[in-house]
Amino acid sequence: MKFNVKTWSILVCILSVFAFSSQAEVAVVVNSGFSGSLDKDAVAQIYLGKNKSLTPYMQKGSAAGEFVDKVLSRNASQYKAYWAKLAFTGGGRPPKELGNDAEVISTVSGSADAIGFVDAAAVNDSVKVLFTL
Amino acid sequence: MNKPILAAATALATLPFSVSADINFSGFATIAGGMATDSDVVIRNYEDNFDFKEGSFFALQAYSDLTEGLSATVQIRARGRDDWEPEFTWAYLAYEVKPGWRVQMGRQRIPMYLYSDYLDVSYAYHWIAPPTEVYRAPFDSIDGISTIHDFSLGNADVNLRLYYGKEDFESGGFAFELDDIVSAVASVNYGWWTFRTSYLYFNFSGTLGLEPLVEAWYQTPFPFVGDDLNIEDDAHHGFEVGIRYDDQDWLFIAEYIPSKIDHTIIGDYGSWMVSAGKRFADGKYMVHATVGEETNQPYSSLDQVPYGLDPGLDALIDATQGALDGRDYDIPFYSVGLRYDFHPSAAFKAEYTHSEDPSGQKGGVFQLAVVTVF
Repeated sequence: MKFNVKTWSILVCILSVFAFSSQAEVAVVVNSGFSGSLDKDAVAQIYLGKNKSLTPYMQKGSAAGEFVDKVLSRNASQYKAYWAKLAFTGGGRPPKELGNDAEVISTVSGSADAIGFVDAAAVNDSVKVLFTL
Repeated sequence: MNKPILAAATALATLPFSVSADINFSGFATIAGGMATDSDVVIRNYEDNFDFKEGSFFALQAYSDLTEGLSATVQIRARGRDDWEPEFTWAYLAYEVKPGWRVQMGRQRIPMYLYSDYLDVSYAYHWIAPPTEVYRAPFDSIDGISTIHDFSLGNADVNLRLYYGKEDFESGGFAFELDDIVSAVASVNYGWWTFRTSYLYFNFSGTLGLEPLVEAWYQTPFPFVGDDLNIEDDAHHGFEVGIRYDDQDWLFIAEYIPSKIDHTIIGDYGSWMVSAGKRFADGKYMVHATVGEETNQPYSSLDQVPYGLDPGLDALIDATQGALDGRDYDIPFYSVGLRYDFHPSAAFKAEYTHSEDPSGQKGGVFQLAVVTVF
C-alpha cells in the first residue's frame, strides 16, 4: 500500500470517526432534590467506597468504560480487582450494577441518595447533572 | 439437577423472602498448573511432572446484610492440595458500631502480610500467588475478635485493626496450637501509595517430631538443650513493614517480615521481597519481576555442651546438630511473570520462579494459571 495524500486523508477520516464515536459525553447524575455539589474526586471516593454519603450505581452500558477511566483512573478489570479485594475481606460491597442508561435514570430519580452516570444524551429533567466528562 | 430439587428451587425462588435477609453469593478461583525444571529439586512443592492440584482452589463467599449495622460473612475454600476438602476461611459476624468503626467476631483472616487479606484472590494482584518463600506461615485464619477503625487524616485514609484469638492447625503431619494471638495492624493509603506495618504475638505449642531427642536431653545434665527443641508455650514475635505504589501503570512493592520464636529450634526468620510491574495495552498485559530471600537461624544452646566426654552424649550432640542444620538456611529467589486480562472477570498468568530447596540445591518452577472472580 502506497501512502499518498489520498490514503492519508482517508485514514485521518476513519480515525476521526473513531475518535468522535468514543467521545460521547458522560454525565454524572444525582437525584433532582440533591442540593450540594460534588467534584470528580468526591465522586471517585463514593465509587471506591471511601465516602458513603451517597449510594453509587454502576451500569453495564457504554458509558461505564469512560467513567471508570476518567473518574476512577482505572480500567474495567482494575476496578473489578479493587472491589474484589474489598468484598472478599469484609471491607464493603461494590456498587450495584444496573443494566443501562434508562435504569440509571429511573433509579436515581426515584432515590434521594443515589448517584449514577449515563450517556449525556440520555439525561432528562428527572435527574440533576453534577458534571459531564 | 433432578426434578424434585428443581421444583423446590423454583418454588423457593418465587416465594417472597419476607423474613430472611438477602444472601449475596460471590466467589473466586485459581486453576494453576506447574512443573519443576529440575528432576530432583522440589520448588514450591512442585516436582518435575506437571501438577494441577498444588496451586488450584475454589472459594465461595456468602454475605448477608442483616441491617442496622450487622452483617454475616462465610467463606469456604477448597484446595487441590487438601484433596478439595472444603474449609472455612472466614465465618464471622460484623457489627458497625458507628461509621468507621467495625467489630468482627468469629473466624477471620489474620493480616500478617501486605497481601494477607486477599491472599487467595489472585485476580486482585499480579502474581499467581504471593511468594511462599516470604508468605510462609502455615496458617492464615484465627478464631477470635477484631476491632477495625477507618478514618481520614487530611488526604490519607488510615486503617487500624486489633485482633485477639486462637488457632489450631496441622502442618507437615504435626499438630500446632496458637494461643493468645494478639495482632495490631496499621495501614495508610495516600493516593497511589500504601504504607503498612503489623505486629503479631502468640504462644506457640506443637510437636516437630523431635520428642525422642527432647527426652534424651532431659536424661543428661544438660536438659536446657531439650528445652530449645521442645516447642511449648513459646512466645512468637512477628513484625512486618510493607510499602506499595500502584498508579495503575507501574507497580512497586517492598516488604520485610522478621519474626522469631524465642530460644527455640524454630528460630529467627528474616524474609523480604521487592516486586515491580509494568502494565501495557491499557492495562490488558502486565509484566512483573520479584526478588527476595527467606532466611532462618535456629537457636540452640548446644555449644554449652562439651564434646568428646562421652560417646553417648556425642551421638546426641550430632543428632541435634543435624536437626539444627536442617533449619539453618538462606534461600534467595527471583521470579518473572506475565498477567493477561483476557476476559472481564478472568486473567491468565504465567510465572517462572528460580529458588533453592532447604539443602541449597538450585532449581526452577514454571507455573500457569487462570484466575477469576465471580
